[in-house]
Amino acid sequence: MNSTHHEEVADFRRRAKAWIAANVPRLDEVHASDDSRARVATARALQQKIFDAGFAGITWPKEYGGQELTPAHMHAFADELNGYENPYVMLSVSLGVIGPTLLEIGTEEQKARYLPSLLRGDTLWVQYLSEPSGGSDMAGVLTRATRDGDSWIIDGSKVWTTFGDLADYALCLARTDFRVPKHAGLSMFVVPVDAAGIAVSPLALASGSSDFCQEFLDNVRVPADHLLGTENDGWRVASQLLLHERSALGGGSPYFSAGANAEGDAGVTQELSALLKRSGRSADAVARQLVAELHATSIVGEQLAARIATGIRCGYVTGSAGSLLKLFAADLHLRHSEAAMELAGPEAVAWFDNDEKSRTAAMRWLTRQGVSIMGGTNEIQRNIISERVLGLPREPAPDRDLPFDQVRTNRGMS
Amino acid sequence: MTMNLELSPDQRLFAQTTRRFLESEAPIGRIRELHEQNLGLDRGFWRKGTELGWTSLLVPEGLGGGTIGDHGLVDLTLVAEEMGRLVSPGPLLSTSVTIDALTRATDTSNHLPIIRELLSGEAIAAWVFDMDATLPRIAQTGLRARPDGDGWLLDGAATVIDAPIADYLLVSAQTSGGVTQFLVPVNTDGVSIDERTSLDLARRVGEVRLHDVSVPASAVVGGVDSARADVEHQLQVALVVQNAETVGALDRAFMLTIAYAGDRVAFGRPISSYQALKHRFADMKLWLEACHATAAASAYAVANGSGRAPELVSVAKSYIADRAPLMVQDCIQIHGGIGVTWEHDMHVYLRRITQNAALFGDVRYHRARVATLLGN
Repeated sequence: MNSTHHEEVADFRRRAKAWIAANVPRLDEVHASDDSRARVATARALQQKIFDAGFAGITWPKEYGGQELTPAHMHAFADELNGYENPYVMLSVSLGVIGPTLLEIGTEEQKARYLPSLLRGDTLWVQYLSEPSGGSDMAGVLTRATRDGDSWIIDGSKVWTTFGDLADYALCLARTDFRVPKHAGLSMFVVPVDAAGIAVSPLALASGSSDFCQEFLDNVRVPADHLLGTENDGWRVASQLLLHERSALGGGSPYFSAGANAEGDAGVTQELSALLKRSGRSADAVARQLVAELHATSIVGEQLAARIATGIRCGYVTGSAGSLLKLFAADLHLRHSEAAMELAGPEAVAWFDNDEKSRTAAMRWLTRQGVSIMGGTNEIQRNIISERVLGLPREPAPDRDLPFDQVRTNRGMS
Repeated sequence: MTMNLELSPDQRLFAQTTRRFLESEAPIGRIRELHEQNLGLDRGFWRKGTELGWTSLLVPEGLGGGTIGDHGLVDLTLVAEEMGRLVSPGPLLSTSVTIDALTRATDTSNHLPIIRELLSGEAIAAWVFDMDATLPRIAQTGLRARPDGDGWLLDGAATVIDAPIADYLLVSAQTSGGVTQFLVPVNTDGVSIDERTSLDLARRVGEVRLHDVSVPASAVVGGVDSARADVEHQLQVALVVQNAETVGALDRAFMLTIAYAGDRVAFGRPISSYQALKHRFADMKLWLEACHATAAASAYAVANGSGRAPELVSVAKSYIADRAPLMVQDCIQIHGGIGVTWEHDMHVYLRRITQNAALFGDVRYHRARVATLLGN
């Protein structure tokens, strides 16, 4: 990134503030839809406006639609967006995870082809990583890609794709060599979701919502130039995706900043304070302690995020410390779910349809473990923290050096 | 030195000098020795510490003090963290609070000689106050002062750290129109101090009783009836120092445990290779970093005079006091039998961390304070 001659951060911030005030709806003026698909559509429309006004991809190169400014500019824009409708939470996979990975690993031709429309929100990107046969052991994917002349043929099944049914493109991790150890035989492909042979079906969760999808890939043919990185180098690409996922989540990404999001300290505290008032327990010391505990914990979470971002920058911890933030967020979500149920009381187990607070608490409770599972389970995060942050001995892995076709797998469990 | 990740070279040097001094003058084995021989604070140790600058950080330059970085309070956390690391003796918290009170007063002239004595370590002061007086909406306190001729009469009682080694008491008392603070020499008639057995081996705690203690008008620190904000600020300073000390101790106890688990072998492999322990270490690392983060953030909030400082010190204290004692207990569990012996250092950490969790407001107290500050 060229650091000479760009606009001062303060000037940029003023310009951003004025543009946002004139063009973006304030959060307190809009009613966020319950339907996450409608929220994605709203986010895409807003991202298009942001792109057209010259505020998208603030640190990305100009040739792909970015602004080629600094992370300080990017954070200034995200700060100014605080209190307004924000497209980044819904588009975080495209903008925070896949875009940066394409920027780092894509060929010039791939970057020119995909990045501008990704950045403008015209194309929505998802990750085809987890499979029914295994989520945590990602290098054990069974989906197969076979070279056939100038193209690859992909067969298998993927699952837990967020908004898979709205996506235009996917990055798909597949096995291209079964005769070598598992990490060495993987490749990453760009797959257009409308390709012949892909069937996408929404996956209903326990709460009845279905933000996730499962995909079946049956003889899906993609051209050879859809390989991202080199053949059998897919594990490196996947690791890069995971790294960006953690840093986008933790606020330490140089490419993406979601700013203060709606689930931050104000969100938890406001919800629980409202439930406390409604419960008539405002004078009940136990209930008050609970609200204070959750408020304090959510503030500590923000303080921890700031510390880890600084710590990674100054070399106190490695990038893997992003796992600390993931684990903290998951723990906070567990406690938040419990506290909301406790304060909502009997109404959270039998409510009237106009009682949004009770319904929200109940639905969150039903999928309470989701945050502790998705994006790497708490158990995997604890492995990462103990091994890569604390340097403790690695777990024994009997499959690590075996040719993959000799490894015991969950084949058939799809 | 891990609570603050971004230090200037001067701050780094200051913290390193403090660490080297503490490691040579007050290694943790010495704490047990002093306790076994029933020796009190070595005044020479404290005076040498003041020569390193420990007491000057909250004193304005015009009065003989000076800071290392931009904020004396942040510099002070460097000392507190190092002292926590070795569970050091020394009235850092009490002296800092008293200096804060004396130097915040608009007219410091009465107390200049005492500021100098505290700066040089010739004198030690302890803070006599009632925790209830720092809860918003609660105005009652067991410590009272009433006018008597030109002076005042003080009454009441409180449990006070460093009281048994103090030369002066800073008393925060209820007066007819608010709160007023007084600086009282311990040998004043009517002052009695009964020493309690302190859970912490290096610290002395006493019950201070004031019975019709007569002090002149010149003993008043700050304004008559108007010291409520000063008491709040003193509590913030106390919590910043205490939290830094706790995270320093916690960090060290955790590092010792990781190292032990790497050396200790069971069933032919280091116990730190067992996933059951690795996952606990991962959780502890998370809580430890969170404790560091909130301790540092609240220190900066107080140093900057942020409007959120009252909330953020209580957020930090409630989080740290909730996590730290149980983390040390788990560190002891990982050590096995050796961890519960007198000769092992773990209980020395457990004692300091548990005492810090209980004094200047426990978890419940600070959560109640947060709830009230939230307007619930």
